[in-house]
Amino acid sequence: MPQEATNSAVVPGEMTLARWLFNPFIRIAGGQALAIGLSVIVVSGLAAAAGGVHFDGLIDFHPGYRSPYWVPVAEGFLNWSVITGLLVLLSFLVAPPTVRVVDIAGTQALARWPLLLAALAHVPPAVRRGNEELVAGAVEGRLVMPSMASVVVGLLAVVCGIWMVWLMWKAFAVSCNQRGGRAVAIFVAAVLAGEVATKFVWLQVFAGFSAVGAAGDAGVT
Amino acid sequence: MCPECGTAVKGDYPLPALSRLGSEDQQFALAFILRSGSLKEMAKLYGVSYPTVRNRLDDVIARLSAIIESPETDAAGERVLAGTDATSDGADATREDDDSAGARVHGGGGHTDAAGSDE
Repeated sequence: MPQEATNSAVVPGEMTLARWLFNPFIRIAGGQALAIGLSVIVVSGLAAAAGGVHFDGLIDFHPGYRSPYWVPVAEGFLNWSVITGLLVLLSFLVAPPTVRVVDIAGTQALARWPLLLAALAHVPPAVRRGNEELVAGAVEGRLVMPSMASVVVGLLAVVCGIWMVWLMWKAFAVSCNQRGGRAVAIFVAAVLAGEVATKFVWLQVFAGFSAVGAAGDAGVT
Repeated sequence: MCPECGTAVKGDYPLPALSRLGSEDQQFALAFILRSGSLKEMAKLYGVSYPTVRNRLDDVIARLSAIIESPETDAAGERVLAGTDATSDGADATREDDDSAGARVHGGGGHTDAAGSDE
């Protein structure tokens, strides 16, 4: 009989920087991930409101708008709860019965943390003003050249969005023990369905609470 | 033959399903049993999250199920149920059955009589 061992060959759990960045769910899941993730959603929402950003869809990130502080926070909760609900339903069909809802919910919440970085990057007034002028110009049909800050922060937001989707995938893979092409297809279908559902709810509930920044300053913040 | 201690084991007998798992899987199963099957304790032991260790267990279960459901194991199980394993008088008849099923298992850890001496 082999001796008891805790080496990484038995359960690969060694956390490198890459793993912390791209698959922290090897180490963190369940209630701990849920607590951190929900905190991140709240802080991200507050930062987004301060930076004039909307999370108007599951994987959407749109700067240049103004809204009350509670709106981006509620948008974050909407996006998280919709994808969690979809993945929980799918887990009943495709995952082992040992899957825990708290793992799906917790890892999906934590997976949204790159949006915090993106939202914080939009908080500086120069960036916010630049984005508001850009969006207002687009709405009014004027050509406005984006500032360098807007371009850099916009690129950062794109990177953070891709990073978040990757983390959502790894969260699904770990929490539901899924891998391979079929799992990728299921995840993509869930994200597309989630995007449609969150857009629909956003239009019904939140659209009236936001306005294009420069043109709609009328006290919405 | 072991190059260090000179022990040699040769035979024609079924290995237990657990023994046919890989070394890491066996270590995992041992730790799991010693912790009364607590996945939370296992997660603490290996410093990983609960779903990570549960996924590892699911992988071991899948491999063990494949071993148990394999034709080799079926033939061995029939042999044990019939009381005609390699140690019994009916070893020759069983060997014939095994040959037809291509289901002979050779390995260490069992008895060392000459039941498999046709090699």
